[in-house]
Amino acid sequence: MTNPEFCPKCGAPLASGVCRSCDNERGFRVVRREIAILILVSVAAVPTYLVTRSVAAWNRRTDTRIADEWYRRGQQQLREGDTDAATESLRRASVRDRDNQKIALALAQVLAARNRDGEARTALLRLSGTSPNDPEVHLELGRLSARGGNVPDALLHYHEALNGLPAGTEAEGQGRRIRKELVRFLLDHHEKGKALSELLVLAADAPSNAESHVEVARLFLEAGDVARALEQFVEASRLDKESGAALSGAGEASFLLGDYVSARRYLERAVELNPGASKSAELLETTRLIQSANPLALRLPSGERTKRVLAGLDQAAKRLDRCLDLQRGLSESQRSDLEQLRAEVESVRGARDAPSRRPDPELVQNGAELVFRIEEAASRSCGEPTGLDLALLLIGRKHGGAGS
Amino acid sequence: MNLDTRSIAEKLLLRENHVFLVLTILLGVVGGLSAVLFTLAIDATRNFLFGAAPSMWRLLAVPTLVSLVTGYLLAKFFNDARGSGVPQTEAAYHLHQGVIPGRVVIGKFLTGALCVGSGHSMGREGPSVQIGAGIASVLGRWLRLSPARVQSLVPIGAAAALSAAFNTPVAAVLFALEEIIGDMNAALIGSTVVASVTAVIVERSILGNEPLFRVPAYHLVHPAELAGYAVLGIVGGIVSVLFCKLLLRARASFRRMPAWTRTFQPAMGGLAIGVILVFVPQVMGVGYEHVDQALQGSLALKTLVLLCGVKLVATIISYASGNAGGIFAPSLFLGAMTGGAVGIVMHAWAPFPTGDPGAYALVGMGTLFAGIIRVPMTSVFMIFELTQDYQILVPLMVANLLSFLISRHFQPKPVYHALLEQDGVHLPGAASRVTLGTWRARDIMVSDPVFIPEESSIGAAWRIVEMDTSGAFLVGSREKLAGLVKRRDLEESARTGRGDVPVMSLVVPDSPHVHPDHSLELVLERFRGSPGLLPVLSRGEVRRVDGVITLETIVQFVQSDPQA
Repeated sequence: MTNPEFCPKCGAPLASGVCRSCDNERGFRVVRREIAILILVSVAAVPTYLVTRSVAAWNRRTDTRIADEWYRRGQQQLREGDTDAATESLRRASVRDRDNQKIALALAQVLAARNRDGEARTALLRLSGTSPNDPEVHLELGRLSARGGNVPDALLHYHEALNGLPAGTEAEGQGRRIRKELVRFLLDHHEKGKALSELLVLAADAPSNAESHVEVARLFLEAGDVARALEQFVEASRLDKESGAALSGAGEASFLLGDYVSARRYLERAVELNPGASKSAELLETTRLIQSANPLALRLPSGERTKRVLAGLDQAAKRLDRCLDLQRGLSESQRSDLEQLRAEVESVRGARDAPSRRPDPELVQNGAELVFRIEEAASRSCGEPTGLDLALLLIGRKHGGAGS
Repeated sequence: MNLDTRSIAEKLLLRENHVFLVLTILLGVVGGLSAVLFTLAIDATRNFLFGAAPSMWRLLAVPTLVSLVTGYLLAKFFNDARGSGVPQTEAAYHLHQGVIPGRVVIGKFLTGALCVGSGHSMGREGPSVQIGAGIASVLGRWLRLSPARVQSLVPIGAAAALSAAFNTPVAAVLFALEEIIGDMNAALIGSTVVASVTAVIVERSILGNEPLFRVPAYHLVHPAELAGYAVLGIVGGIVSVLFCKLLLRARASFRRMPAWTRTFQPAMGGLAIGVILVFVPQVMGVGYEHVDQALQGSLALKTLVLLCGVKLVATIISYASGNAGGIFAPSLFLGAMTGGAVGIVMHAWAPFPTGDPGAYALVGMGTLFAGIIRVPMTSVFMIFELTQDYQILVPLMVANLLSFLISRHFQPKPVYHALLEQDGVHLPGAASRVTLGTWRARDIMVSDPVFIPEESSIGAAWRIVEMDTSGAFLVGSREKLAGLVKRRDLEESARTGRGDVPVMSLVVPDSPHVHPDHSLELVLERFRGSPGLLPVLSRGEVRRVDGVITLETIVQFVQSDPQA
């Protein structure tokens, strides 16, 4: 018979009918069980974590492979000219591999090519956030800004693109291409001052070959800096004496600067190298006419001067007559001006032909000036002159007539 | 046992709340891992089934064939794994003391990965919630925690999983409080935060810090633009109502089909989805990459409207046909498309300056989420967490509020609750949440009422109840109540020679009932409208009779000792 004051299981004394010892043991078993389960779950979490990471890595590799496939497909479609399909392929590629700069840039470029400037800009700005110094990204942004006519943004991004280029020969070539593109944009937007700044850098960095200098020279010409254009053309012709482009460019620049002697030299050489160069031939012809018709040229005998000025007057008078013969297109004031000039021509001729004529010491100067005024007025009223008339007009301008 | 061992045992005797604290952190880790694994499983399934560039035939065949398999699995082994997982988690929390069988966790993982990975237009967050909550429930029961503790683990596990699935720890906590528990003042907020943060740390350590969406830099262009967001709220509300109503109707239609078709219904949905994917593959699966495009403003108006419409239809088909997957992600997809479309229209025609359509797509995500899921706080914070920008709060609240109000007006019952009601489960609403110390229906009812068998005749029924003085009687059985019949009608019909007529002809339609947790006040209010007998029906199985309340039981309760 069990004693109610002692535990039947372990024999320990009971407290208020409860065995403390058995209770603790039971509690200990429960505690051990809880601890065991928690430890088991915690331990199991470790390999689960590692397995999950492996699966995630495997998934990423699969996605990258699929992204590459779509990227290749997109590039192929671009080569075939199917930009719609290429856009879709590159989009799918970028979805699979969002961090891939190459894919993101290709997508932005094709969006820009399809004039989806807003999307392209968003994609590029996002790219620039992750790769702030990427020259390709800034170049595309610059092109987008240029297309939108935003000069400050275009300048900023083009400069960022240039600054982001690494050192090296290849990068230098790329840099020159970028800067030329920038200059082209600035010139198209009549920003000649900014274009000239860029051209100065371009000229300083130009490689030692005639083509590069010719290219820079042409840009200088377009920007209005004829003197620097001439420098570049001359340098180009020095590097390649057989360069027709350099010679004809130098001739043109010299012509524009009024140095007809040099212009004739360059242009004769250019035409000799390339007889088919019609523009050079035309310029050469004009140059020759200028040189042969200029009564104010240096070291001319006085008879020759007089002869030239009178020939010029005759030519100008013919131009005047042709102009006055136009029934329509002339206003009253234009007609009046031209008739006034005609009267002046008659007056000069009359004075020259008069029997008691005394030699006019001012004939050359006044005659040349009259010729210039006639050619200018005719040019304003009846269109640009050609041939000898053009030569006479340019002679007048060179010697300080009313500006062009 | 000697004194040393006893003192060690006492010291080592972990109190339940210590276990709970450790378990909270562990659930954060395990919940996070489960959500990440689930996401990876979906991606791996999709890559395996579709590859890089699926052909038309593959798009058509994969959803159909895989749904045949999942349909069989769901019908035979994992019936509780159908659908979203959020309403089922809520039901487990409120009605089953947090019990979610381990089989449900496995089934949800398997069928969810197959369904979403095979192209069904469904989300992964809902299943993640149920998986996380299920793991929490299983662990809690393994540890033999009290039922109250096990119940409280459910929203913690749910928050952890959602935090990892969506990468928004704060929104996950709010979702658990607002939707699962239904009480923003819950005492569990601390544990939920710990688990949610732990889960997102685990998730980011595996998947990286890359955000789910590349959200555009947002700013309110002009105060008048709030009017544009108000328009978005109205449109969002309308789309939300449309989605909810069509979903419920479609699901009801599927449920009315013969029982033997239940195994094949997912495949029917799969076939329809396959056809849709051939023409509009963008609505496949979760669709977050297209949400991303909408946020970037990359989609044209026509595309946005098309994707919104097709996604709505596809999601309804996938869900209503009984596949496993959620509506969380489709809500965000619909929101982004709706917002983007409204943004383009505003940008073109509004008389005030407006932002990019991408900003409207972002707000639209929150708007549809508020209108469909009906969790306004969560929807605001979710979008805020994605943008980390305070400027979005005001437009978001304007749009969300309008959408919420419109949705609530035309669809009073939240979609998750309505879906459960279709399954015969009535979740407690706010009105029935009672404070401690209030008497409830279960305290007053008697649990052994008399039943008149459904197939009885009036005469037989009268003989059963003749000596009972109640004003009405139950017809049917404890497991399935057919209705009530009034004593007066029964007596009169029996005495006028209609004894052979089936008793079902006298059953009173739509008689009031209560549930065990209803307050005494509600019981008395409904008793007034009853024929003298008020059935107390189970919430978990709405035709099952837990007890009855009659005038006698009320009097007995009043006269009895409440403490006894």
